Amino acid sequence: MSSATPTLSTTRGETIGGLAPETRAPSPSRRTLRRFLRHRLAVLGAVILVVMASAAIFAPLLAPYDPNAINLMRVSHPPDATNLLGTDAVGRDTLSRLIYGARVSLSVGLVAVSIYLAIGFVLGALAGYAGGWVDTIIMRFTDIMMCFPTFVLILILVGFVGPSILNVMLVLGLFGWPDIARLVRGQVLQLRELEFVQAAGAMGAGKWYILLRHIAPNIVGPLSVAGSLGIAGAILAEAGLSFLGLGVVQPTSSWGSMLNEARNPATLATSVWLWLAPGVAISLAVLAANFIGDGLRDALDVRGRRGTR
Amino acid sequence: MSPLPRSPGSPMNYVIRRLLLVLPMLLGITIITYTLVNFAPGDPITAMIDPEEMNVRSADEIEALREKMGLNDPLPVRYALWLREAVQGNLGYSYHDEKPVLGMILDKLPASLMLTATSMLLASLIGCALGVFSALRQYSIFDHLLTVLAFFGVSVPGFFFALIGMYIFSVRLGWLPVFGMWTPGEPTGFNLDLLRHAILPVLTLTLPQIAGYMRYARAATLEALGADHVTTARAKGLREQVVLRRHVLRNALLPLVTIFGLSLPAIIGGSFIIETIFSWPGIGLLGYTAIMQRDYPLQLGIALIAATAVLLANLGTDIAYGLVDPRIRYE
Repeated sequence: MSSATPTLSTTRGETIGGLAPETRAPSPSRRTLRRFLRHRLAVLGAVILVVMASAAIFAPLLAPYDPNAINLMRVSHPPDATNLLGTDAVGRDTLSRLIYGARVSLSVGLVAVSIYLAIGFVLGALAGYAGGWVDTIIMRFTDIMMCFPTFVLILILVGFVGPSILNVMLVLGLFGWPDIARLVRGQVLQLRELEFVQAAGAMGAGKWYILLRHIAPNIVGPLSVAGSLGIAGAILAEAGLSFLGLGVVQPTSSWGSMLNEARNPATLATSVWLWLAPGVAISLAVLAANFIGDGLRDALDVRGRRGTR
Repeated sequence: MSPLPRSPGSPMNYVIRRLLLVLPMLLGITIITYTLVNFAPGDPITAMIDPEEMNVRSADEIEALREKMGLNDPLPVRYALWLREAVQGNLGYSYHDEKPVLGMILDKLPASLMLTATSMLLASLIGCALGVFSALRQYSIFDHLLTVLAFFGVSVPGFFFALIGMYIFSVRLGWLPVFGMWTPGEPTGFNLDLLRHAILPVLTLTLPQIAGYMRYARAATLEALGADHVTTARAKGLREQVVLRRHVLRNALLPLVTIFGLSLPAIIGGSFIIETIFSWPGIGLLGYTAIMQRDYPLQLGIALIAATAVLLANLGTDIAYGLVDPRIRYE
């Protein structure tokens, strides 16, 4: 990892090798932040997500109407001054539903990914650190799970437990971990051979102390990359589920369930605003999360190939 | 790992080693599927017994049958019994259609293969071409543009592409049909009508895949361009075209074979949505219908078959790759 080695660059007259303590090289986190900010797409992504998250949090203040209020006087109305993004088949305001929908998409993404990051971290760290038969069992299990098309398992399990926001979060969280477990295990195996970890061991530090104090902090980088790409995937999966009618159920609005209405050919043909707006919103959110993941990867200098999933 | 004579580099041993690894994996897949079977609400007896047989039996008889079939046994025993049936090709009966699950899946296989295989082929060809081109003109406007487009490719949901495609080409322009494989009433078979119906589903399944191949091909080509043997090839005066064809692309694009296997799970997942949107009568639509009708035996049969297909695809690409690239054989 290059972030562990001191940089010898001397921009703005810094001295090499720490000869002058008052002009130290910037800390690794500062350097990472600076590199992230130089990645223009990543900054754009961060801005998009911050705007969307604010919209989600302040939805009651921002939404012009109640997202579930039915108005039969203005059914399938095209966008105009009263309804900036038009209305749906029962006269609900598309813009308001879009703003409230951000809550579903973003929270499902965040919660599902947090769940599987935790599972993946524990399993991966255990496998990499314990080694032996524990490693063999966990990694074979991971290999087997990776054979299943995740989306199909998610569809089936949501079918068992019934569609709801909570169930979608849990089921998405339950199946995303294999990639993370592999990543964490690989990192642990690499890190524990490094000098500073060996040194800590030689000085008598316990296994768990080393894992938590020396190894875990160094996995945060790759994990944050995987996490932001994971959020992109989770938002897509939730949208797909809701689009098929297996995710968030009416009347709660989610971007996927708004698109679900466009499966009706008449709606597709006549109420373009109804499906174009949530489709763009999903694409933007996923794009933003992917940009951030890419920016983090560059900034943290996380190398390694990624699968196409 | 295996008790075979130690010469890990021999192609035959490599194939055998890979094959031996597959059996425990296959077993694992069945264990997970069976665990899922047990989570499904409902009674396994209705799933395993021919429905016609069910109708003519009394409750006592069914209880006796339940005992005889071992359904009152503990879970591991039941799993063993289920596995014996599954190995013989009995994945149970569909709740809804009362037909054998395996037969229903195999019936839909050609339609699905047509979409997935075509889209994988298209995506890999287009993706590689764009990726290599992008690498040869690194940091050009074209390269930057493609990088951004690739982000769109992986970020825009396939079903949104599908809706846009349907709106433009079917609703507005009226060029392409929207539903099914053939126009109702027209002759079926491999004809022009089928191709017209396939265009939109294939395209919407292809677009999200292109980005993966492209980014991989770009990175691999760049890496190969910097390799020592390429510098040597140039130094000895080979024409740039020959350098590219023989020394760069051959090395860079070979590992792409493995992406076929790796991307299969995502494509199977995607085909559930795409086949549903376009009412394309393949396994994806069958699976979606099974989920909506709570047809558990059919759902789990599809999960089992899909996972096995992924496993075998990975095995196939691994073996093919190992045979063409000797380095792989000694990991």
